[in-house]
Amino acid sequence: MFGFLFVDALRDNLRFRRLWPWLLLAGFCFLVAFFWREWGFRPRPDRVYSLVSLTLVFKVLALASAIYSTSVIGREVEQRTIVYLLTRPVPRWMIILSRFLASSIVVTLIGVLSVIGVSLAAYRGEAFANEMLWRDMGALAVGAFAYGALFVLISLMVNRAMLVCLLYTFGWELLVPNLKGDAAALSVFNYLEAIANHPEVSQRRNLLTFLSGQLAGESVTPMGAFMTMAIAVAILAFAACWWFSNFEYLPRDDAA
Amino acid sequence: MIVLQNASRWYGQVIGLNDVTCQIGAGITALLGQNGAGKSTLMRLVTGQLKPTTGEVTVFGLRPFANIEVYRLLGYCPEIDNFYESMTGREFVVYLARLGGYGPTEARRRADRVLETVGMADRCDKRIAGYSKGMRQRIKLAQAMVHDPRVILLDEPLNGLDPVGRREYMDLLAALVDQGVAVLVSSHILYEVEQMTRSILLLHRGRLLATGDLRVIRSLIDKHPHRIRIESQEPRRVAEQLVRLPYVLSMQFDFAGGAIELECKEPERFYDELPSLVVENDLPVSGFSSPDNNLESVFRYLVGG
Repeated sequence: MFGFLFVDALRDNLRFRRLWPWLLLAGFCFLVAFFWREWGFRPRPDRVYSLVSLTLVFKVLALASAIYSTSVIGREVEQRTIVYLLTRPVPRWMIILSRFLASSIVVTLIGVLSVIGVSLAAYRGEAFANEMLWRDMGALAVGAFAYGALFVLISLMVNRAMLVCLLYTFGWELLVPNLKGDAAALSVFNYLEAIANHPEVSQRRNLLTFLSGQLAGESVTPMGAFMTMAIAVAILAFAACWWFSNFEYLPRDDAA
Repeated sequence: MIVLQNASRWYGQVIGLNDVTCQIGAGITALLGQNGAGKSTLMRLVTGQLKPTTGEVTVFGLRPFANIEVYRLLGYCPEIDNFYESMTGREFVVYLARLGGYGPTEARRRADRVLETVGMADRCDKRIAGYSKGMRQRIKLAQAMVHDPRVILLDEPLNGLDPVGRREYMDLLAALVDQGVAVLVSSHILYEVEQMTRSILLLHRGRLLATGDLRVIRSLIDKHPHRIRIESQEPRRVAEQLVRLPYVLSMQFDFAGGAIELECKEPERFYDELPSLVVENDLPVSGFSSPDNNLESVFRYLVGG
């Protein structure tokens, strides 16, 4: 049963109709890196790659995760088809877990495609010799699961989950990693940045350093960040499964 | 099979179901009430989509909320007209059969069987988005039947069906009952429910107003006289005999229609005595009927409408 649910969710997430906006965004990341490399200010490949990756690709990842994760159950509630799911002999945790895994894998693919595009634009023929690319792929996979687990849980707990997730993505995740002190520990991006382990994009403190979340400097080791994220994913996914198994879900109009 | 024990359900400050105690067993049981009476809330409690705020709901002795053992025994045809629109009817039923735990081959075999049963075999490969309301109702019934449940709950299943479709649908339900399936149908189309069953649960503003056999319920409402229309070419002669009966309260003549409409407080007794009265007095009675012998009037009386 788990396999059927997982494959079905994966197939649904990979439908071209759902995927094409993300392919466009991946193309956009490629174009930004390409034009910067061609005509930009100080277009060193590592600098171009690092900046575009941190400021754009990781944001695309969080955005994709917000969209895919909130639709894990949210779309069924909106379409009012959730009633068919919830009156079948399928454990509710299995529905959540299989769909969470499927959406996280697709979000990882989106992130990996984007970052490969950026590496191709920045390094051209030596794109895959770029060490940061491989670390980024790992960080993107971890990020897809971490954001996914967090956003799935949010989508199960609050009504306007998309709004909350977008505020988190473009507010919290932009601001908090740049704060000094313990607040950064509450940002997923802070850990992803530690796993990606990019060199500092600039010696000076400017907008690009802010956007790439490097104002505060690194505070976590890559292994520490990975372990923290792994534990967080496990806890958040468990919480989402528990929540969905114990609370009521009605079609949107009926719940009002 | 289904037991509600002092079950109540609140939605914040609004009460959906208020202290309902009843049992639903074999055969067809109709759940009747106006919009907002609590029919869908009761259905959702039984199908485990909701938990009762107080009291208890059990299906085959099990609490239904998120209980996969209950879902194996229960088929649910919701009122909503929403589907995975991009799927075909067959894909939809197969998908839900797969969610019922069947492998791909078995799910397809079962889907084919129920699609044939509901009369959708020849149209099930079209997309649901292009289906008429009647076809959608049939597909919903097919998905509810696909795992051979012991109880089927149908929320307003006759909406959108044409007269022929309704007749076929009712025949289908009767066939399911013959196979031992218990059916709970909610509806506010009283006339149609009456054709399906006499076993009813009557809800009003969340409360269970009456439960049991329609005729028994009707006979219990003695504060409302029962109206009976008797057709005759000689209404005066018939009236002369009928007015002597102690339980006949009033009479009205309809000379144009050739009939008398009387009110009586013991309808069962009246129906028992009428044939002998007609034969002994050689009364020219060509027919009789009761405008009160339907659920509409029972409902009207009970809610004081």
